[in-house]
Amino acid sequence: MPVIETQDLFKIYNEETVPVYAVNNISIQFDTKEFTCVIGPSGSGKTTLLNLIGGLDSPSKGTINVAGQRIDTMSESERIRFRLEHIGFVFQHYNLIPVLTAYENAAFIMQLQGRPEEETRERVTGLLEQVGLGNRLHARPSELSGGEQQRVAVVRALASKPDFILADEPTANLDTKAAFNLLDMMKQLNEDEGITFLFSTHDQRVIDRASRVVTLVDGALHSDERR
Amino acid sequence: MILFKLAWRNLWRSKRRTWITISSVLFAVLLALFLESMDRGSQEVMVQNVVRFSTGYAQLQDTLYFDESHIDNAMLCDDDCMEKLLEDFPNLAYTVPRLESVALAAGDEKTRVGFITGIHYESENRFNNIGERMREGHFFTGADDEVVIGTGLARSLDLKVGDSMVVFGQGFQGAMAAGKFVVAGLVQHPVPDLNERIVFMPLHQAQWLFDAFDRVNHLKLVPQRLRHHQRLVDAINAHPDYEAFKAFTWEELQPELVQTIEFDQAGTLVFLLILYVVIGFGIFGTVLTMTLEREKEFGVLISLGMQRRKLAQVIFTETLIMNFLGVLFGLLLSIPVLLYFYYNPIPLGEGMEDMMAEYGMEAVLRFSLDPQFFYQQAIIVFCISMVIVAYPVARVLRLDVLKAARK
Repeated sequence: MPVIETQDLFKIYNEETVPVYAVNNISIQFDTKEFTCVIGPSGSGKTTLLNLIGGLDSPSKGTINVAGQRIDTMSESERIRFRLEHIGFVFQHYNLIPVLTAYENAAFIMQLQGRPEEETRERVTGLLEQVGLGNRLHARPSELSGGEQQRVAVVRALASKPDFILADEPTANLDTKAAFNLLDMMKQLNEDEGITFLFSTHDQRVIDRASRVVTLVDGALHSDERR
Repeated sequence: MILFKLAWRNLWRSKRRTWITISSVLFAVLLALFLESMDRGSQEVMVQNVVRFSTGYAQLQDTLYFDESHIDNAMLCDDDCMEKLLEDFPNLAYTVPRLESVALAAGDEKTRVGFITGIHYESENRFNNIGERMREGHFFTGADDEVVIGTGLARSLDLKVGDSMVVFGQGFQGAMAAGKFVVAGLVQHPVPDLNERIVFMPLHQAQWLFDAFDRVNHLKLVPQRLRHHQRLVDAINAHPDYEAFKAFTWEELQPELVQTIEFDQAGTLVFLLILYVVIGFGIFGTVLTMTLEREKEFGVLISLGMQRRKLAQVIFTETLIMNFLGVLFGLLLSIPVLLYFYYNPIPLGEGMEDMMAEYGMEAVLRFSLDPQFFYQQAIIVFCISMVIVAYPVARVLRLDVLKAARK
């Protein structure tokens, strides 16, 4: 069953002067529990596609259905609410809140959702222990390594049990060992929790572990390989 | 709770900057209070001096007297009437009756226009300590023919204590007012013009002189709390038993003094405005820096699903806490500072002493501790700070999430 479905999706910049097709007529589905990479050269439209699917940007044309809801017709406020409830984000630069501890960062989304404190504590502590950060709960981001920060970011994205996680170049700033650890962890969570992962990446280490690889060229769908 | 935690922790991200902002608000409150306290202090002294020796804080007159201040419009109010006033208005502490008119005052060889003023010495002295201004002789001992005159008038008429003085003028409804009196004392009246003309005599003596028995030109009304004079005036004017009279505040009777105070306040306001602008830009600079350097973070938070209004709440809370601390510390610090100056007014220098003394004032800058301006200034500085927060809030509400997150 598709958790994400785009139909005739376009994102065109400078429509009235010299149009630039950042996303050019993409119709694609992503099913639950998939571990998919979107790859392509720089400027191929990977990030733009993820931004559209994540409700961070609006399409010029076409439709986007996420978890059974049309997000392209939602207001900005509705999209923010939708992101909070249905989508987890992992960024290249981790983007943890520097003034919060590892635990507080990981629990942030659940707290914004207004989940009960007990449930939040149990879920977040369990996940942080699962990713090997059980002893770093009270450390601030500045006290964590890049790999540890990214693991906290993954737990933050995952803790609220979103319908899927969008990860934009999550391993780009990690050394090989940290990247493998992170990928192993995400793969494990994908299998254990049944969470759909959608990556944009250049990183061959990520591509090698993906169950599906979607290639974009000049904003258009070039290939779609299932493994 | 998470929003407050976020705001609080954000504040202490850059401790030095936060303390600088808090200090800006603190000094704004302190300086504004210092200026206002000094200004109000001088005004209070000015009002005290002028009001105590002329109109009083409030005054009761015959309804016709305000438009035509003549002895013929003196009000009929004897001791019973004054007692009834005290019974009817608990806010009234005491009354100071006066019967006044101009008449010729003559010594052996010279004549001047005198301002004949019949007073109740006890209540007059209680109100303005006129007794302390005696330079020679004494106030009334009970003899019918005693008068106390201004030192200026005594000089003009070549009169000394014990000399005789003749008063000649017109009394109530055209009656002749003439009498011979003994100068019992010389008083230094604080108003120079009056010092050249004043002739004090017992009230009953003045009523006899002017043939105005049981009449007074006006009653000065002294409220239990001086600042409540308007309330007292309103109450009297609304009372059906006093329809023949009309009560006035000193502001109504001394419009020139009100104008002087307003002019003085306008000057202080200009200083305060400059201060507010300087401090306002200081706080704005900090808030601007705090906003710009965190735009990426704002973009990320919105991407994660934080509503813009919640983010605005966090920024608002940060500014609120900073300003609250600044105002609080400003108020706490200003209390001992102003208390010190209240009890140790700033001397104006030796050159001013004689000049000020002529007007019955001390050559010092007095400070006021009126609680009203403490919270007024605190609220103003607080409001300025809260207006400044509109900028980051507006910026967050319009933030381009993708651009911000890419920074």
